[in-house]
Amino acid sequence: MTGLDIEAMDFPISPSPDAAPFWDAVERGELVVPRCVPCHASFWYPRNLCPTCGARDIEWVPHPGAGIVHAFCIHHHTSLPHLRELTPFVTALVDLGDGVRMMGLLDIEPDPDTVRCDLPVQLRFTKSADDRQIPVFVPS
Amino acid sequence: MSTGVAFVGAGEADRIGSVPDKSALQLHAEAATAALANAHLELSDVDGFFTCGLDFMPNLLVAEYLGLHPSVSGSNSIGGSSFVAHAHEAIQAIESGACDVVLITHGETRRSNAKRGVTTRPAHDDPWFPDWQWERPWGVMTPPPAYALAASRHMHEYGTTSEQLAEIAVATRAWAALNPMAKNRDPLTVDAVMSTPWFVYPFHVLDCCLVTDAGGAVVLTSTERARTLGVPVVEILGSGVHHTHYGISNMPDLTVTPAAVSGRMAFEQAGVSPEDIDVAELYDSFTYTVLVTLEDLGFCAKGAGGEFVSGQRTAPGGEFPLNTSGGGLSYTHPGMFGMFLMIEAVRQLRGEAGDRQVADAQLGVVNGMGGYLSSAATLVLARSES
Repeated sequence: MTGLDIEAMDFPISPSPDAAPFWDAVERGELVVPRCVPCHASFWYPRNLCPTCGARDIEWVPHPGAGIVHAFCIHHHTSLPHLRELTPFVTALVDLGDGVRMMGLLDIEPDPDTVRCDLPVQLRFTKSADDRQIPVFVPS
Repeated sequence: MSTGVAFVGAGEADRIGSVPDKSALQLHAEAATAALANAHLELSDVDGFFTCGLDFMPNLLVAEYLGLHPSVSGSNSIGGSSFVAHAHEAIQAIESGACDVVLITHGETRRSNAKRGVTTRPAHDDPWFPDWQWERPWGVMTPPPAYALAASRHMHEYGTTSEQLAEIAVATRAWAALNPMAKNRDPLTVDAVMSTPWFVYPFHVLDCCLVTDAGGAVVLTSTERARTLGVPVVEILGSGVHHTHYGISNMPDLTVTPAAVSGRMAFEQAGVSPEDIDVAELYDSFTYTVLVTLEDLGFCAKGAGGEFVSGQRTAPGGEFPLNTSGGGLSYTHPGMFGMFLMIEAVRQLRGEAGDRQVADAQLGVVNGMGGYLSSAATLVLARSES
């Protein structure tokens, strides 16, 4: 951890019906991702049908949370109030395998000489000021 | 080949840039009358109408203000490419005989809305929407970080540099210097762009488009009728529209935009190749948008966009006239820019572009890019016999 002070922040999460199982798992310190029962395709983000085959039979599968940075940006401004105190900070698109590409905060020095695509990362969980577990990627 | 449909008029609102004393609807009306006058047509000739960007029922709102009761209308909303997509739909409507004269308008006061504390677009305030769930919590709720994510991958895969992106900002500014309607006309250098602060890495402030107040309109009819109007005729040889995602997390390949599909559709229908094109108007929400679009339309190989724009090749006097109005980067950008790409292409092909006229421009291409590199709409245009 190099500086994302999640503990000092309120995090405005309002889980949708599609998202509730994800946030329930996060509260337990676990990552789960949706997978289609008939065609076995994993996908992201969660929804109530499979975007590959259209089936409505979806299961949630545990994931170890290891991935690689596919792309990143370093915010020097943000219009999102909950993140304003964090600038500059890094957002990454992380490939978790099996077609799951998840956006998240990356806790790393916000410097283009340090952050890079293809960096291996791991999802960790940190408590926010409003007492919820927040998933954050860290270099692994 | 041809679609059988042509642009016969194009125009802007009386003043664009910062226009705090006018409403968005006034900008629509000013642009509509300018474009119709440019076409030697009247509002009463219009029986097809397209717009978007204002309100929940954009075509109803603006058609009422203009006094139109159109036979065909639409408000397809796919981001900044929408108005180019409206032209694609207008072709189908005119070719089918459902209408004869189509007016497409755009007007927004994005710059002044912020000062008035108002918004004229529909609210997007349900936290259960996917972007609220999966992107906003992590910092992405506006285009700059979304496009920055895509650009970072392109730089990683192909060695594209910040200096190459800056070349686009500099060349576009040089075109703006020749356009009296452009907001920013002072000369730029690559060093000057590189020395502006990061907005969101890998974009400096000057890699990002303007936010302005502006209105624009274009008029289309059948090529057959166009030739009776006594105006220069700009035929649409081919068109295509394609979209692949809403949020940047669901973009199938961060380095390939939907212009790869819409462009192929438009060029194939037109029966011409990128190397035949004399002038290109490609949406420049960010410098990177232009670079990746050049690749996806086939002006250069995938990954070669940086090299293509280096050495000011796209500036006035360069080998490849690009974004000759000064673009969204330096001319105007009222939240969406597709309309203004078409206006400039029509002016260039009519030979009405003043100091920035590209000599003997016969063939042009327009590419709108909307959302988070989500949607693209491409037109291939030709100066035609009047």
